[in-house]
Amino acid sequence: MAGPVAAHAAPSRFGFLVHPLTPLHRRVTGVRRGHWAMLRDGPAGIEAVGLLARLVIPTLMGPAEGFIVGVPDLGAQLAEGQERARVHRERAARIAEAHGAQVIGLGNALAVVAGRGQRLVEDTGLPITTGHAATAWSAVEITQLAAARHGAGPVGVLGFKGAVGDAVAEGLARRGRQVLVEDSGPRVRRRARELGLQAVGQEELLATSRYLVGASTTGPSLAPEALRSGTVLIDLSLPPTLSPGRLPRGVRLYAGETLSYPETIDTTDLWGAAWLAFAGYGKGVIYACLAEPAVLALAGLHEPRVGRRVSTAVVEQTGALLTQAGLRPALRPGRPARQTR
Amino acid sequence: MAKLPANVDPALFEKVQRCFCEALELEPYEVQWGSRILADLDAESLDLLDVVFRLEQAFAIQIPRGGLENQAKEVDGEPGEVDGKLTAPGARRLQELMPEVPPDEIFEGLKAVQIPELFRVGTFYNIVVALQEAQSAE
Repeated sequence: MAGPVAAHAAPSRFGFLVHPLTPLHRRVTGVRRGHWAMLRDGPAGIEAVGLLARLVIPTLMGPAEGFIVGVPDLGAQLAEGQERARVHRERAARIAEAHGAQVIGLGNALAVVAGRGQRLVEDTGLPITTGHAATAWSAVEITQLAAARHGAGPVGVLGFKGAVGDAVAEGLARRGRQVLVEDSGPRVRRRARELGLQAVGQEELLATSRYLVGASTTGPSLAPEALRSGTVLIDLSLPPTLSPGRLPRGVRLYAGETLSYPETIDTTDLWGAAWLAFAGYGKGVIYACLAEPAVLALAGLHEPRVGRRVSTAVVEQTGALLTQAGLRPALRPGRPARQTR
Repeated sequence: MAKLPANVDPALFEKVQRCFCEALELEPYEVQWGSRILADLDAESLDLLDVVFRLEQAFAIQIPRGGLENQAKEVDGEPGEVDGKLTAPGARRLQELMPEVPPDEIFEGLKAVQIPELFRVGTFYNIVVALQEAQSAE
Protein backbone atom coordinates (compact mmCIF):
# COMPACT_ATOMS: atom_id res chain seq x y z
CA MET A 1 0.00 0.00 0.00
CA ALA A 2 1.14 3.54 -0.66
CA GLY A 3 1.92 5.89 2.19
CA PRO A 4 -0.36 8.61 3.54
CA VAL A 5 -1.87 10.88 0.95
CA ALA A 6 -1.44 14.60 1.35
CA ALA A 7 -4.87 16.12 1.86
CA HIS A 8 -5.74 18.94 -0.49
CA ALA A 9 -7.28 22.08 0.94
CA ALA A 10 -10.51 21.70 -1.02
CA PRO A 11 -11.31 18.15 -2.05
CA SER A 12 -12.85 17.42 -5.41
CA ARG A 13 -16.48 16.49 -5.06
CA PHE A 14 -18.63 13.97 -6.87
CA GLY A 15 -22.12 12.59 -6.55
CA PHE A 16 -23.29 9.00 -6.92
CA LEU A 17 -26.97 8.24 -7.37
CA VAL A 18 -28.21 4.90 -6.10
CA HIS A 19 -31.34 2.89 -5.45
CA PRO A 20 -31.92 0.12 -2.90
CA LEU A 21 -30.87 -3.31 -4.18
CA THR A 22 -33.11 -5.39 -1.91
CA PRO A 23 -36.22 -4.81 0.26
CA LEU A 24 -33.98 -4.93 3.38
CA HIS A 25 -31.71 -2.32 1.86
CA ARG A 26 -34.80 -0.19 1.16
CA ARG A 27 -35.88 -0.41 4.81
CA VAL A 28 -32.44 0.76 5.94
CA THR A 29 -32.70 3.61 3.45
CA GLY A 30 -36.04 4.49 5.05
CA VAL A 31 -34.37 4.68 8.49
CA ARG A 32 -31.61 6.89 7.08
CA ARG A 33 -34.12 9.22 5.47
CA GLY A 34 -36.51 9.14 8.43
CA HIS A 35 -39.19 7.90 6.05
CA TRP A 36 -40.88 5.36 8.27
CA ALA A 37 -43.35 4.03 5.69
CA MET A 38 -40.35 2.49 3.90
CA LEU A 39 -39.66 0.43 7.04
CA ARG A 40 -43.00 -1.30 6.44
CA ASP A 41 -42.26 -1.66 2.70
CA GLY A 42 -44.77 1.14 2.09
CA PRO A 43 -44.77 3.67 -0.73
CA ALA A 44 -42.37 6.60 -0.81
CA GLY A 45 -42.63 9.73 -2.87
CA ILE A 46 -40.12 12.29 -4.02
CA GLU A 47 -39.60 13.51 -0.43
CA ALA A 48 -37.78 10.21 0.23
CA VAL A 49 -35.09 11.12 -2.31
CA GLY A 50 -32.10 12.44 -0.41
CA LEU A 51 -28.56 12.20 0.86
CA LEU A 52 -27.66 8.76 2.22
CA ALA A 53 -23.97 9.08 2.94
CA ARG A 54 -20.84 11.11 2.56
CA LEU A 55 -17.55 9.37 1.99
CA VAL A 56 -14.03 10.37 1.13
CA ILE A 57 -12.01 8.18 -1.21
CA PRO A 58 -8.29 8.61 -0.61
CA THR A 59 -6.33 8.68 -3.85
CA LEU A 60 -2.87 9.64 -5.01
CA MET A 61 -4.47 12.62 -6.78
CA GLY A 62 -5.94 13.80 -3.48
CA PRO A 63 -9.13 13.00 -1.62
CA ALA A 64 -12.37 12.73 -3.54
CA GLU A 65 -15.37 13.62 -1.46
CA GLY A 66 -18.46 11.72 -2.53
CA PHE A 67 -22.13 12.33 -1.81
CA ILE A 68 -24.30 9.25 -2.13
CA VAL A 69 -27.86 10.26 -2.96
CA GLY A 70 -30.61 7.66 -2.94
CA VAL A 71 -34.01 7.25 -4.56
CA PRO A 72 -36.52 5.05 -2.73
CA ASP A 73 -37.53 2.59 -5.46
CA LEU A 74 -36.04 -0.84 -6.10
CA GLY A 75 -34.69 -1.65 -9.57
CA ALA A 76 -37.88 -3.43 -10.67
CA GLN A 77 -40.00 -0.50 -9.53
CA LEU A 78 -37.82 1.93 -11.45
CA ALA A 79 -38.30 -0.15 -14.60
CA GLU A 80 -42.06 -0.39 -14.02
CA GLY A 81 -42.58 3.37 -13.61
CA GLN A 82 -39.94 5.06 -15.72
CA GLU A 83 -41.48 8.54 -15.66
CA ARG A 84 -41.47 8.45 -11.87
CA ALA A 85 -37.88 7.15 -12.02
CA ARG A 86 -36.94 10.08 -14.26
CA VAL A 87 -38.38 12.60 -11.82
CA HIS A 88 -36.75 10.98 -8.75
CA ARG A 89 -33.40 10.67 -10.50
CA GLU A 90 -33.44 14.31 -11.53
CA ARG A 91 -34.21 15.34 -7.93
CA ALA A 92 -31.31 13.18 -6.72
CA ALA A 93 -28.97 14.80 -9.24
CA ARG A 94 -30.01 18.27 -8.08
CA ILE A 95 -29.28 17.30 -4.47
CA ALA A 96 -25.80 16.10 -5.45
CA GLU A 97 -25.27 19.35 -7.36
CA ALA A 98 -26.32 21.34 -4.28
CA HIS A 99 -23.60 19.54 -2.30
CA GLY A 100 -21.05 20.74 -4.81
CA ALA A 101 -20.69 17.58 -6.91
CA GLN A 102 -18.67 18.38 -10.02
CA VAL A 103 -19.44 15.04 -11.69
CA ILE A 104 -22.33 12.70 -10.96
CA GLY A 105 -22.27 8.92 -11.42
CA LEU A 106 -25.28 6.68 -11.90
CA GLY A 107 -25.49 3.43 -9.97
CA ASN A 108 -26.99 0.22 -11.34
CA ALA A 109 -30.54 0.62 -12.77
CA LEU A 110 -30.40 4.42 -12.61
CA ALA A 111 -27.98 4.29 -15.54
CA VAL A 112 -30.40 2.41 -17.75
CA VAL A 113 -33.99 3.42 -16.95
CA ALA A 114 -35.88 6.49 -18.16
CA GLY A 115 -33.89 7.22 -21.29
CA ARG A 116 -30.54 6.24 -19.71
CA GLY A 117 -28.12 8.90 -18.54
CA GLN A 118 -28.62 10.80 -21.77
CA ARG A 119 -32.08 11.97 -20.69
CA LEU A 120 -30.75 13.18 -17.34
CA VAL A 121 -28.10 15.23 -19.14
CA GLU A 122 -30.78 16.72 -21.41
CA ASP A 123 -33.01 17.54 -18.45
CA THR A 124 -30.34 19.02 -16.17
CA GLY A 125 -27.25 19.90 -18.21
CA LEU A 126 -25.15 18.30 -15.47
CA PRO A 127 -21.98 16.23 -16.10
CA ILE A 128 -23.37 12.71 -15.68
CA THR A 129 -21.42 9.49 -16.13
CA THR A 130 -22.63 5.91 -16.33
CA GLY A 131 -19.25 4.61 -15.14
CA HIS A 132 -19.07 2.23 -18.10
CA ALA A 133 -15.52 3.24 -19.05
CA ALA A 134 -14.05 2.49 -15.62
CA THR A 135 -16.03 -0.73 -15.41
CA ALA A 136 -14.81 -1.93 -18.80
CA TRP A 137 -11.20 -1.00 -18.08
CA SER A 138 -11.27 -2.77 -14.70
CA ALA A 139 -12.75 -5.92 -16.21
CA VAL A 140 -10.05 -6.05 -18.86
CA GLU A 141 -7.27 -5.54 -16.30
CA ILE A 142 -8.77 -8.05 -13.86
CA THR A 143 -9.02 -10.62 -16.65
CA GLN A 144 -5.34 -10.00 -17.36
CA LEU A 145 -4.51 -10.44 -13.65
CA ALA A 146 -6.46 -13.70 -13.62
CA ALA A 147 -4.54 -14.91 -16.67
CA ALA A 148 -1.25 -14.07 -14.95
CA ARG A 149 -2.34 -16.26 -12.04
CA HIS A 150 -4.07 -19.13 -13.85
CA GLY A 151 -2.44 -19.19 -17.29
CA ALA A 152 -3.42 -18.09 -20.78
CA GLY A 153 -6.50 -19.10 -22.72
CA PRO A 154 -9.35 -17.83 -24.86
CA VAL A 155 -11.83 -15.38 -23.32
CA GLY A 156 -15.57 -15.55 -23.92
CA VAL A 157 -17.44 -12.30 -23.37
CA LEU A 158 -21.10 -12.63 -22.36
CA GLY A 159 -23.23 -9.56 -23.02
CA PHE A 160 -21.28 -8.32 -26.05
CA LYS A 161 -24.35 -6.39 -27.25
CA GLY A 162 -24.10 -4.04 -24.28
CA ALA A 163 -21.81 -1.02 -23.95
CA VAL A 164 -19.55 -2.60 -21.34
CA GLY A 165 -19.41 -6.03 -23.02
CA ASP A 166 -18.44 -4.42 -26.30
CA ALA A 167 -15.70 -2.32 -24.71
CA VAL A 168 -14.35 -5.28 -22.72
CA ALA A 169 -14.18 -7.48 -25.82
CA GLU A 170 -12.37 -4.76 -27.76
CA GLY A 171 -9.97 -4.07 -24.89
CA LEU A 172 -9.03 -7.73 -24.51
CA ALA A 173 -8.58 -8.15 -28.27
CA ARG A 174 -6.28 -5.12 -28.29
CA ARG A 175 -4.19 -6.81 -25.62
CA GLY A 176 -3.76 -9.79 -27.90
CA ARG A 177 -6.28 -12.11 -26.28
CA GLN A 178 -8.34 -14.52 -28.35
CA VAL A 179 -11.91 -13.33 -27.76
CA LEU A 180 -15.17 -15.14 -28.46
CA VAL A 181 -18.63 -13.59 -28.35
CA GLU A 182 -22.08 -15.05 -28.65
CA ASP A 183 -23.45 -14.94 -32.19
CA SER A 184 -26.90 -13.44 -31.82
CA GLY A 185 -27.50 -11.84 -35.19
CA PRO A 186 -26.06 -10.09 -38.22
CA ARG A 187 -25.11 -6.88 -36.43
CA VAL A 188 -23.18 -8.81 -33.78
CA ARG A 189 -21.36 -10.74 -36.52
CA ARG A 190 -20.47 -7.50 -38.30
CA ARG A 191 -19.17 -5.87 -35.11
CA ALA A 192 -17.22 -9.01 -34.20
CA ARG A 193 -15.56 -8.98 -37.63
CA GLU A 194 -14.59 -5.30 -37.18
CA LEU A 195 -12.86 -6.11 -33.90
CA GLY A 196 -11.31 -9.40 -35.00
CA LEU A 197 -13.40 -11.52 -32.62
CA GLN A 198 -14.99 -14.92 -33.16
CA ALA A 199 -18.81 -15.00 -33.07
CA VAL A 200 -19.93 -18.50 -32.09
CA GLY A 201 -22.91 -20.25 -30.54
CA GLN A 202 -23.22 -20.23 -26.76
CA GLU A 203 -22.37 -23.93 -26.44
CA GLU A 204 -19.12 -23.48 -28.35
CA LEU A 205 -18.32 -20.31 -26.43
CA LEU A 206 -18.65 -22.11 -23.09
CA ALA A 207 -16.75 -25.16 -24.31
CA THR A 208 -13.85 -23.18 -25.80
CA SER A 209 -13.37 -20.33 -23.34
CA ARG A 210 -10.94 -20.78 -20.46
CA TYR A 211 -12.03 -17.35 -19.18
CA LEU A 212 -15.51 -15.87 -19.22
CA VAL A 213 -16.36 -12.24 -18.63
CA GLY A 214 -19.98 -11.85 -17.52
CA ALA A 215 -21.13 -8.47 -18.79
CA SER A 216 -24.78 -9.22 -19.50
CA THR A 217 -27.07 -6.34 -18.73
CA THR A 218 -29.72 -8.61 -17.27
CA GLY A 219 -29.06 -11.74 -15.36
CA PRO A 220 -28.83 -14.46 -14.40
CA SER A 221 -28.03 -15.82 -17.82
CA LEU A 222 -26.24 -19.09 -17.00
CA ALA A 223 -26.76 -22.05 -14.73
CA PRO A 224 -23.58 -22.81 -12.73
CA GLU A 225 -23.51 -26.37 -14.08
CA ALA A 226 -23.17 -24.98 -17.61
CA LEU A 227 -19.55 -24.07 -16.82
CA ARG A 228 -16.87 -26.68 -17.42
CA SER A 229 -14.20 -27.40 -14.84
CA GLY A 230 -11.25 -25.05 -15.17
CA THR A 231 -13.35 -22.07 -16.23
CA VAL A 232 -12.49 -18.73 -14.65
CA LEU A 233 -15.49 -16.37 -14.53
CA ILE A 234 -14.90 -12.66 -14.09
CA ASP A 235 -18.33 -11.31 -13.28
CA LEU A 236 -19.50 -7.75 -13.77
CA SER A 237 -23.20 -8.40 -13.94
CA LEU A 238 -25.82 -7.39 -11.44
CA PRO A 239 -27.82 -9.54 -10.92
CA PRO A 240 -24.91 -11.99 -11.24
CA THR A 241 -24.30 -14.00 -14.40
CA LEU A 242 -24.90 -17.32 -12.66
CA SER A 243 -28.26 -18.37 -11.33
CA PRO A 244 -28.25 -19.48 -7.67
CA GLY A 245 -26.55 -22.80 -7.09
CA ARG A 246 -23.27 -24.39 -6.14
CA LEU A 247 -20.25 -23.46 -8.19
CA PRO A 248 -19.00 -26.64 -9.94
CA ARG A 249 -15.63 -28.01 -8.80
CA GLY A 250 -12.71 -26.42 -10.58
CA VAL A 251 -14.60 -23.24 -11.52
CA ARG A 252 -13.24 -19.96 -10.16
CA LEU A 253 -15.26 -16.79 -9.75
CA TYR A 254 -13.83 -13.27 -9.46
CA ALA A 255 -15.56 -9.92 -9.06
CA GLY A 256 -15.08 -7.98 -12.26
CA GLU A 257 -14.77 -4.35 -11.21
CA THR A 258 -13.08 -4.13 -7.83
CA LEU A 259 -10.39 -1.50 -7.37
CA SER A 260 -8.16 -1.18 -4.32
CA TYR A 261 -7.33 2.29 -3.05
CA PRO A 262 -4.43 3.61 -0.97
CA GLU A 263 -5.52 3.01 2.63
CA THR A 264 -4.54 6.19 4.32
CA ILE A 265 -6.77 9.06 5.26
CA ASP A 266 -10.29 9.39 6.57
CA THR A 267 -12.58 7.00 4.75
CA THR A 268 -16.20 7.38 5.69
CA ASP A 269 -18.74 8.75 8.11
CA LEU A 270 -21.03 6.27 9.90
CA TRP A 271 -23.63 6.22 7.12
CA GLY A 272 -20.87 6.06 4.52
CA ALA A 273 -19.52 2.91 6.13
CA ALA A 274 -23.04 1.47 6.39
CA TRP A 275 -23.73 2.23 2.74
CA LEU A 276 -20.48 0.62 1.61
CA ALA A 277 -21.31 -2.51 3.61
CA PHE A 278 -24.88 -2.76 2.30
CA ALA A 279 -23.74 -2.20 -1.26
CA GLY A 280 -21.33 -5.13 -0.91
CA TYR A 281 -18.00 -3.28 -1.01
CA GLY A 282 -15.22 -5.30 0.60
CA LYS A 283 -12.49 -3.90 2.83
CA GLY A 284 -10.10 -1.62 0.99
CA VAL A 285 -11.90 -1.82 -2.34
CA ILE A 286 -14.49 0.13 -4.26
CA TYR A 287 -16.28 -0.66 -7.48
CA ALA A 288 -15.21 1.00 -10.69
CA CYS A 289 -18.58 2.64 -11.35
CA LEU A 290 -18.12 4.63 -8.12
CA ALA A 291 -14.49 5.39 -8.90
CA GLU A 292 -15.19 6.93 -12.32
CA PRO A 293 -16.99 10.09 -11.15
CA ALA A 294 -14.39 10.42 -8.39
CA VAL A 295 -11.39 10.48 -10.76
CA LEU A 296 -13.21 12.65 -13.30
CA ALA A 297 -13.84 15.20 -10.55
CA LEU A 298 -10.19 14.97 -9.43
CA ALA A 299 -8.97 15.47 -12.99
CA GLY A 300 -11.31 18.40 -13.61
CA LEU A 301 -13.07 16.54 -16.42
CA HIS A 302 -16.54 17.87 -15.78
CA GLU A 303 -18.25 16.48 -18.85
CA PRO A 304 -21.06 13.99 -19.50
CA ARG A 305 -20.31 10.39 -20.47
CA VAL A 306 -23.61 8.76 -21.20
CA GLY A 307 -23.59 7.34 -24.73
CA ARG A 308 -24.90 3.93 -25.70
CA ARG A 309 -21.33 2.96 -26.58
CA VAL A 310 -18.06 3.75 -24.86
CA SER A 311 -15.03 4.29 -27.06
CA THR A 312 -11.64 2.68 -26.55
CA ALA A 313 -10.06 6.12 -26.20
CA VAL A 314 -12.36 6.99 -23.30
CA VAL A 315 -11.78 3.61 -21.66
CA GLU A 316 -8.01 4.00 -21.89
CA GLN A 317 -8.13 7.62 -20.68
CA THR A 318 -10.18 6.52 -17.69
CA GLY A 319 -7.78 3.67 -17.00
CA ALA A 320 -4.88 6.12 -17.02
CA LEU A 321 -6.70 8.36 -14.52
CA LEU A 322 -7.52 5.44 -12.22
CA THR A 323 -3.87 4.38 -12.32
CA GLN A 324 -2.71 7.92 -11.60
CA ALA A 325 -5.09 8.02 -8.65
CA GLY A 326 -3.65 4.77 -7.29
CA LEU A 327 -6.91 2.89 -7.79
CA ARG A 328 -5.68 -0.51 -8.88
CA PRO A 329 -7.60 -3.49 -10.24
CA ALA A 330 -7.88 -6.12 -7.52
CA LEU A 331 -8.42 -9.83 -8.01
CA ARG A 332 -11.08 -10.59 -5.40
CA PRO A 333 -13.40 -13.60 -5.21
CA GLY A 334 -16.91 -13.04 -6.49
CA ARG A 335 -19.97 -14.29 -4.73
CA PRO A 336 -22.37 -16.47 -6.72
CA ALA A 337 -25.98 -15.27 -6.73
CA ARG A 338 -25.45 -13.01 -3.71
CA GLN A 339 -23.28 -10.47 -5.42
CA THR A 340 -24.38 -6.97 -4.66
CA ARG A 341 -22.91 -3.64 -5.44
CA MET B 1 -40.19 2.38 -46.35
CA ALA B 2 -41.34 -1.20 -46.89
CA LYS B 3 -45.06 -1.72 -47.33
CA LEU B 4 -47.15 -1.52 -44.19
CA PRO B 5 -50.26 -3.62 -43.53
CA ALA B 6 -53.41 -1.91 -44.85
CA ASN B 7 -54.81 -1.02 -41.42
CA VAL B 8 -51.66 0.71 -40.20
CA ASP B 9 -51.52 4.50 -39.89
CA PRO B 10 -48.23 5.52 -41.58
CA ALA B 11 -47.84 8.68 -39.49
CA LEU B 12 -48.27 6.80 -36.24
CA PHE B 13 -45.93 4.06 -37.40
CA GLU B 14 -43.32 6.68 -38.28
CA LYS B 15 -43.52 8.00 -34.72
CA VAL B 16 -43.05 4.48 -33.34
CA GLN B 17 -40.19 3.94 -35.77
CA ARG B 18 -38.52 7.15 -34.56
CA CYS B 19 -38.56 5.87 -30.97
CA PHE B 20 -36.73 2.73 -32.09
CA CYS B 21 -34.24 4.72 -34.16
CA GLU B 22 -33.39 7.00 -31.24
CA ALA B 23 -33.10 4.19 -28.69
CA LEU B 24 -31.05 1.87 -30.89
CA GLU B 25 -29.17 4.46 -32.93
CA LEU B 26 -30.51 3.12 -36.20
CA GLU B 27 -31.64 4.64 -39.49
CA PRO B 28 -35.36 4.50 -40.34
CA TYR B 29 -34.78 2.10 -43.25
CA GLU B 30 -33.39 -0.42 -40.74
CA VAL B 31 -36.55 -0.37 -38.62
CA GLN B 32 -39.33 -2.08 -40.55
CA TRP B 33 -42.77 -3.28 -39.54
CA GLY B 34 -41.65 -6.92 -39.43
CA SER B 35 -38.13 -6.40 -37.99
CA ARG B 36 -37.45 -8.72 -35.06
CA ILE B 37 -36.27 -6.46 -32.28
CA LEU B 38 -33.72 -8.73 -30.64
CA ALA B 39 -32.42 -10.62 -33.68
CA ASP B 40 -32.72 -8.14 -36.57
CA LEU B 41 -32.23 -4.86 -34.73
CA ASP B 42 -29.72 -6.43 -32.35
CA ALA B 43 -31.33 -4.89 -29.31
CA GLU B 44 -30.53 -6.15 -25.83
CA SER B 45 -33.19 -6.41 -23.16
CA LEU B 46 -32.24 -3.03 -21.68
CA ASP B 47 -32.82 -1.48 -25.08
CA LEU B 48 -36.42 -2.67 -24.84
CA LEU B 49 -36.71 -0.71 -21.61
CA ASP B 50 -35.43 2.38 -23.42
CA VAL B 51 -37.82 1.86 -26.34
CA VAL B 52 -40.74 1.48 -23.92
CA PHE B 53 -39.77 4.72 -22.15
CA ARG B 54 -39.55 6.63 -25.41
CA LEU B 55 -42.93 5.28 -26.56
CA GLU B 56 -44.48 6.18 -23.21
CA GLN B 57 -43.15 9.72 -23.49
CA ALA B 58 -44.05 10.14 -27.17
CA PHE B 59 -47.63 8.89 -26.81
CA ALA B 60 -48.37 9.81 -23.15
CA ILE B 61 -49.20 6.21 -22.28
CA GLN B 62 -47.92 3.67 -19.75
CA ILE B 63 -46.96 0.29 -21.15
CA PRO B 64 -47.33 -2.45 -18.51
CA ARG B 65 -44.36 -4.83 -18.27
CA GLY B 66 -45.10 -8.35 -19.51
CA GLY B 67 -48.54 -7.25 -20.67
CA LEU B 68 -48.80 -9.63 -23.63
CA GLU B 69 -47.48 -12.66 -21.76
CA ASN B 70 -49.80 -11.96 -18.84
CA GLN B 71 -52.84 -11.81 -21.13
CA ALA B 72 -52.03 -15.29 -22.40
CA LYS B 73 -51.43 -16.86 -18.98
CA GLU B 74 -55.04 -17.93 -18.62
CA VAL B 75 -57.44 -18.50 -21.51
CA ASP B 76 -61.13 -19.14 -20.80
CA GLY B 77 -60.33 -20.71 -17.46
CA GLU B 78 -57.55 -22.91 -18.85
CA PRO B 79 -53.88 -22.32 -18.15
CA GLY B 80 -52.07 -20.67 -21.03
CA GLU B 81 -48.71 -21.66 -19.64
CA VAL B 82 -47.52 -24.73 -17.73
CA ASP B 83 -43.96 -25.16 -16.41
CA GLY B 84 -42.86 -22.06 -18.29
CA LYS B 85 -44.16 -23.34 -21.65
CA LEU B 86 -47.19 -22.29 -23.70
CA THR B 87 -50.16 -24.62 -23.79
CA ALA B 88 -52.26 -24.96 -26.97
CA PRO B 89 -54.84 -22.38 -25.74
CA GLY B 90 -52.00 -20.09 -24.64
CA ALA B 91 -50.39 -20.31 -28.07
CA ARG B 92 -53.71 -19.60 -29.81
CA ARG B 93 -54.33 -16.58 -27.58
CA LEU B 94 -50.87 -15.21 -28.23
CA GLN B 95 -51.35 -15.66 -31.98
CA GLU B 96 -54.47 -13.49 -31.68
CA LEU B 97 -52.65 -10.88 -29.60
CA MET B 98 -49.65 -10.75 -31.92
CA PRO B 99 -51.01 -10.85 -35.48
CA GLU B 100 -47.80 -9.27 -36.78
CA VAL B 101 -45.85 -12.45 -35.90
CA PRO B 102 -46.14 -15.37 -38.35
CA PRO B 103 -48.45 -17.88 -36.62
CA ASP B 104 -46.04 -20.79 -37.04
CA GLU B 105 -43.58 -19.05 -34.72
CA ILE B 106 -46.06 -19.27 -31.83
CA PHE B 107 -46.72 -22.88 -30.90
CA GLU B 108 -47.60 -25.16 -28.01
CA GLY B 109 -44.46 -25.86 -26.00
CA LEU B 110 -42.77 -22.52 -26.78
CA LYS B 111 -40.91 -21.37 -23.68
CA ALA B 112 -42.38 -18.22 -22.14
CA VAL B 113 -38.90 -16.71 -21.83
CA GLN B 114 -38.60 -16.93 -25.62
CA ILE B 115 -41.65 -14.73 -26.24
CA PRO B 116 -39.62 -11.47 -26.35
CA GLU B 117 -37.64 -13.01 -29.24
CA LEU B 118 -40.86 -12.90 -31.28
CA PHE B 119 -41.41 -9.16 -30.80
CA ARG B 120 -41.54 -7.15 -34.01
CA VAL B 121 -41.61 -3.39 -34.41
CA GLY B 122 -45.25 -3.92 -35.35
CA THR B 123 -45.85 -5.50 -31.93
CA PHE B 124 -45.14 -2.17 -30.28
CA TYR B 125 -47.23 -0.27 -32.82
CA ASN B 126 -50.16 -2.53 -31.92
CA ILE B 127 -49.53 -2.02 -28.19
CA VAL B 128 -49.55 1.76 -28.65
CA VAL B 129 -52.78 1.64 -30.65
CA ALA B 130 -54.46 -0.63 -28.07
CA LEU B 131 -53.44 1.62 -25.18
CA GLN B 132 -54.56 4.76 -27.02
CA GLU B 133 -57.93 3.17 -27.75
CA ALA B 134 -58.28 2.13 -24.11
CA GLN B 135 -57.47 5.70 -23.03
CA SER B 136 -60.06 7.25 -25.32
CA ALA B 137 -62.67 4.73 -24.15
CA GLU B 138 -62.21 5.87 -20.53
